[in-house]
Amino acid sequence: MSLAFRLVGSREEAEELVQDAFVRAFRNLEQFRGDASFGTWFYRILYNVCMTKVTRRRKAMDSIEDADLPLADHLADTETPGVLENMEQEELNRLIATEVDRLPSKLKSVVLLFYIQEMSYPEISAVTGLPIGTVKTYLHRGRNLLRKAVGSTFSDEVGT
Amino acid sequence: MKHMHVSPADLQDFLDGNLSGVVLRSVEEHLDSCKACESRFRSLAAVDRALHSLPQVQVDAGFTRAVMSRIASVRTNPVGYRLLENAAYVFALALVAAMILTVFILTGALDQQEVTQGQGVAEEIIAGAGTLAGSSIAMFSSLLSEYAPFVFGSGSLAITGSILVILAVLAVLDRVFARRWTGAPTLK
Repeated sequence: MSLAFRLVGSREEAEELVQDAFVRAFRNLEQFRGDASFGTWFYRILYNVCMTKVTRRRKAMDSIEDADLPLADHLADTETPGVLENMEQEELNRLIATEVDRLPSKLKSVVLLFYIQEMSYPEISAVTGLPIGTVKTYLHRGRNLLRKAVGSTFSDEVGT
Repeated sequence: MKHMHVSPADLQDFLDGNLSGVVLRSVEEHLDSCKACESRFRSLAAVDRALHSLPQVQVDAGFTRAVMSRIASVRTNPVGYRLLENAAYVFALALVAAMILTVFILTGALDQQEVTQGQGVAEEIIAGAGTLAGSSIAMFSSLLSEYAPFVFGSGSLAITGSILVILAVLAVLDRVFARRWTGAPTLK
């Protein structure tokens, strides 16, 4: 539920998508071969349902989210140690929760599967269908974007 | 490692517990002696803690009941649900049906003169399939050839178009009524 909520941004939509995932899992139960754990198989269904929703919405809104991804390629490892060091953990938690929602959906889904669902790289790869190397790259980019965003936001707040 | 700073990637791997052996020990030793890297590591760890503490979202009390209700509905009518749940599925069926029909027409299996009339093919379909679809196709193909002769002037196009129209109507009905048919309760 947390994964769906973070991906689509609405509690009602998230509940409906999780319901859809359960129904699809039930309907396609015979296709579960036991190669992966049932949880991974279910999360793959949920991930597909959520990403379909996100993609449709993005097309409808003509979002430039995907255009953000190449920019992330050029991001150097962002280091804002001085800024983050002076931040209270509670404040950092609040900022991170806000900034996670602003991540491009592909990066966000990998970050959420790693941190909220506490999945391993192979599990995330199985759920998203991405190669393990890409999972690592997305996770790395996601963290970098978050650190950069949190650092600049905090600097702005302190500066004002 | 003692004199060179630890790379951000290695720091993150250290944090994730992905290092082992010599590399792990050298990073540990370096962090003990380098304030800059130790500071960077603490920043990474703080962001990691924040990510791990992202608030979890719990489902409402009625969630399980809602899921079971939908599953029960699927169980009682799995074929109908599968057909009507997905507009894309219906459109795919429409395309396949249209292609089969076109092949029949092009190969002369269906009489071309009767095809041009529209009604003739419908009668053959009725005779062959004995379903309501034949009369619906006849009606729509007549309408299409009458009101849009520049597009559906030929009988085959009129019939193909009429099949697509019928299935498009089904698809729209599906989207409108799918929630009711599948028995999913309205979420508050």
